[in-house]
Amino acid sequence: MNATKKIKNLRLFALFVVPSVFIWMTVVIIPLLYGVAITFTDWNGLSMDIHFIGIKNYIAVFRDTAFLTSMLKTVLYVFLSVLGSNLIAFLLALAVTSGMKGQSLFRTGFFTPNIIGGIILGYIWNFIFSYAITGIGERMGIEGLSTSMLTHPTKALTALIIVTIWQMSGYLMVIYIAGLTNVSQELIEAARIDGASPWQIVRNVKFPLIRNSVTICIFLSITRTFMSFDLNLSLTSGGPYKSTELIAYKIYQTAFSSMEFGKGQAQALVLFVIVVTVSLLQVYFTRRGAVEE
Amino acid sequence: MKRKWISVLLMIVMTASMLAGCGSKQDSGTPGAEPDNKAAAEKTDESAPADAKEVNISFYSTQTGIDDTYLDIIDHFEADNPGITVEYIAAGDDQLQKWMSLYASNEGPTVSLMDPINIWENQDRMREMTKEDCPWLDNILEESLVSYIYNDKLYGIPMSAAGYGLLYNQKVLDEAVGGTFDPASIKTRSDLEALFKKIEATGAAGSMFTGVNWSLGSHYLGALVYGPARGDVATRDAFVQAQKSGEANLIDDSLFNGLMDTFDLIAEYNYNKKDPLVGNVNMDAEALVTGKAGTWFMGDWAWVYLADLVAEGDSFGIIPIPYSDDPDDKFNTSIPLSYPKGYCVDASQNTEEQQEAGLKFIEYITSNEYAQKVSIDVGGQALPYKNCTAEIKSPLGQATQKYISEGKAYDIYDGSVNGLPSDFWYECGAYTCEYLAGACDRKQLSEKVGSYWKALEN
Amino acid sequence: MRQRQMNKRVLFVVILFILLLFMIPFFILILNTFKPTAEFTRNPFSWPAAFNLDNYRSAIDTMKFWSAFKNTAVITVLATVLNTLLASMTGYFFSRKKWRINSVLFMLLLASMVAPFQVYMIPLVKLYGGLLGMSNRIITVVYVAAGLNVPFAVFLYHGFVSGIPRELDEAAEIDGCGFTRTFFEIIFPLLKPIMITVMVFVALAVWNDYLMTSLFMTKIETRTLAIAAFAFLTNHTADYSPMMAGLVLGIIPVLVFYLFGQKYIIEGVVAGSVKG
Repeated sequence: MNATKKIKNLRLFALFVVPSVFIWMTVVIIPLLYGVAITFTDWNGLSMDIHFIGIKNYIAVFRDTAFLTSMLKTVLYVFLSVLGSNLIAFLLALAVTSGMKGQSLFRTGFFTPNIIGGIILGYIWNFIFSYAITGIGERMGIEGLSTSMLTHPTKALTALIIVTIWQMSGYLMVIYIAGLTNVSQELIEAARIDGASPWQIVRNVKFPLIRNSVTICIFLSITRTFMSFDLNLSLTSGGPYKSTELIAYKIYQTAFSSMEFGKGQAQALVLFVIVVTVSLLQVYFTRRGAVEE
Repeated sequence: MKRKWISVLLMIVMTASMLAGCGSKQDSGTPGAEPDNKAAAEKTDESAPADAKEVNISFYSTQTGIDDTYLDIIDHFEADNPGITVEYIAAGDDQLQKWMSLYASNEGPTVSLMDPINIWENQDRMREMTKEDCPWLDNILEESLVSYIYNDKLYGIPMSAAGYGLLYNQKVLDEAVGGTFDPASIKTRSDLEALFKKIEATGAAGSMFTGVNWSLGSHYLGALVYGPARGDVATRDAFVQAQKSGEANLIDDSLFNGLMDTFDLIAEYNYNKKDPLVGNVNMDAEALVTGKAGTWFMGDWAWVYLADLVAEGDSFGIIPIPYSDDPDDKFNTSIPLSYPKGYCVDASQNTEEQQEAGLKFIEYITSNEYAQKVSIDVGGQALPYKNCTAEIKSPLGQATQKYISEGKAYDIYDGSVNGLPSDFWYECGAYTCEYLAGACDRKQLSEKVGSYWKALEN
Repeated sequence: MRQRQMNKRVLFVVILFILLLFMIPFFILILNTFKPTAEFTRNPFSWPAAFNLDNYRSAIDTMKFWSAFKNTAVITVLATVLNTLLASMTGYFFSRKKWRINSVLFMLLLASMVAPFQVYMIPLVKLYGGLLGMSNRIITVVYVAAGLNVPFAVFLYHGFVSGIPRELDEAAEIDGCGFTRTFFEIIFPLLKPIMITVMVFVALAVWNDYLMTSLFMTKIETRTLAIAAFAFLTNHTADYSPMMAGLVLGIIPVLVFYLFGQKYIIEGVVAGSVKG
């Protein structure tokens, strides 16, 4: 590689990469490092005196059984939500791109839940679970429906998963659609002429070609559900009796209600490490799968 | 066509990179560690108009629902005090987080309206209020200041007096007792039970709990079990210490058991019995007003929920929560009371001029006739200010006022504002909800609260 | 063939039914914006006794709707444009130049997407609000919002550029196009569908963002729609009906924007199928 090429490359790098990386560094990385530093202190978030306390906060995190319980619940929630929303999103995308009438209506309609922020959605759904469904249950005399799902621990977690799937599948659907429209019609036509069944077309033609979309969607859904906070706050507020405290919500409580800011930060960092590991492994494996195809 | 697209794009690129450049210059332009807070505050003040008399202060309110009232008071205050401008900052449900972020951006509010525990936890930032600085302190009821005095120093001025207990619908109770119901007739738990039975005979539910952590955890469990009924501050602290060390358990405690018997009684006649944790204050307010429930464990602040629903001639009042079956127990006939939020002045990020203007603002809110009138009309609660002549329109506020004037109200903090940690209501409120839902028994509740205390010791 | 037609019809009905289920919450929301709060509290699911627009009037008034709308629109447009531009370039670069530093940076970007915002929000405020004194300025929120969404957008662009055959670049290069020109003249137009998708995502995230924006915009004049709506929500006077009207008012602009974007996505699809 000669010098002029190097300079040229450097110039390209400066033009294409440096601006975005700079803005990201100043907005995410520097504050993040600052945040990590706080985990070694006993700062309450407000107080003027801060003491260095070493790794005490981390010890407290691992000793805290409530944190571990909350983590396990979150894993269950993430698993079911990711599975459900990706399945539904993929099927919806297939259906919507199959050339049926009213395509754009469906596209818009299914995406609508994403137009409203999570906090507000949570309040609307709260009403539905607490009053609409119970009202129907009472009128139809169905005992199981006559009490709110949100006041029973496992049912409340189910409610959270339902709303998450409801919201996220429209979002993921859009990404799947973008992927599916890259699959050329000729290829599908060719497969059809060769006598492939619709299911075979999906499995052997469409699916392999949208591997990238699958990677993206699973990654996005994993990270989004692990971080789920808004919905948790407005739909269940961790209740009934703290049974639906997902991890991000728990962290928020520790940092901002209990005023143990350092400990909350430490919890968040532990979560960060876990989610990074999970999602990078996922990206790595789905990518490797794509190469093998 | 394509060309046009690209030129538009290039223009955007240029603007964007200029914007980014702006940010970056700012970024690198201020090297070094965080400047001393006080100095920074002074600097911002200097950059304000040169006229030394111009002072900008900010007021952070965590009392939701009365933004318009405060804005109105601020308008009047600014008109009466030329040179002072007050910027109003309203909190939502995220009051502590927002407070933290204000302080983090060096914009700590000059005056904040906070819960006593928050002021206590951050007293190192607050300005002490003395008689020399604030001659108007004489106008504040002495007993209302107790929650805001730490180590003999005063850091806050209460905004209102809030009484609570079992709110009742007069019409429903009159029908139940066959005459005019008098809350003083309830002196024991048995009296209450008899009343609930009578109410139920009319077809309404005897009582009602709103199954939320702040009501059950803070107002019931926290304030009553750990409150003044136990004894003076030293006795209460000793009890907490004994729980932390594991020597004392709630289940062996007679006060706790007495209160939980009353709790069980309310729970038995609970309007929300079928699904006790739905916890919607609006729906419950509606149930009380329409007579679906005769009584409701809530406070006089609930007037904001009731006011829109009540019809002409409806009346309401407060019944005390009986601790026991002893008619001579004075706590059975008094209502719990607190001064739940107070105005404090920041000394860590505000200049001396700003602090003084802040004190002036507090003086205005607490002693000005107009400010008092609008506060009372909207909040419906009694104000602990001696010169206040405004009439309370809320029947609930009137009830609290009456209990206070008869000496039948006890301050739940009563000098021990830090008796319960700031997350007690959240953590132990969850356990109390669990108990109400029948998911744990009294012994388990006692164990759960016990382990909460023990965890604090570590 | 008739069987296929039949299947399509069944599928259509099924999807339509699912869509209706999806829309119920919005239906309830809109229904209640026409009722006074007392009527709503009594029965949230009844048909309104009379359709009146009082709630909308009062919401516009209380939320200071127009000022909030203006702030939100300015922030959203600027942040989205800035973000799209920077991220699409970086995504393309990362996908074409397989340098070690690029893959390291890409991995770091991805990893940072997973960082809980709570870990760095207070430091973020300390930095931009405290140290630089940039609170309550639109430019701060634009900068931070654009930056926060960089990893996400780069990730999406990278994924989709990887699906564009390299032969296209090579052909352009043979025609004498440099790297930069290839991107702007050849690749950029091809990115249109995904670009619209990403822009819709980013714009929505910025439009609806409450937490970050509220950290910087503390004054009533600098509020965005999300903050104004949230203020309504936590306003414990429980005046639900105007609040819901406020929500609907906040949704309409985004919905219009999304419908507009929709049109382009379909156009992109058509263009793609012609070329394909």
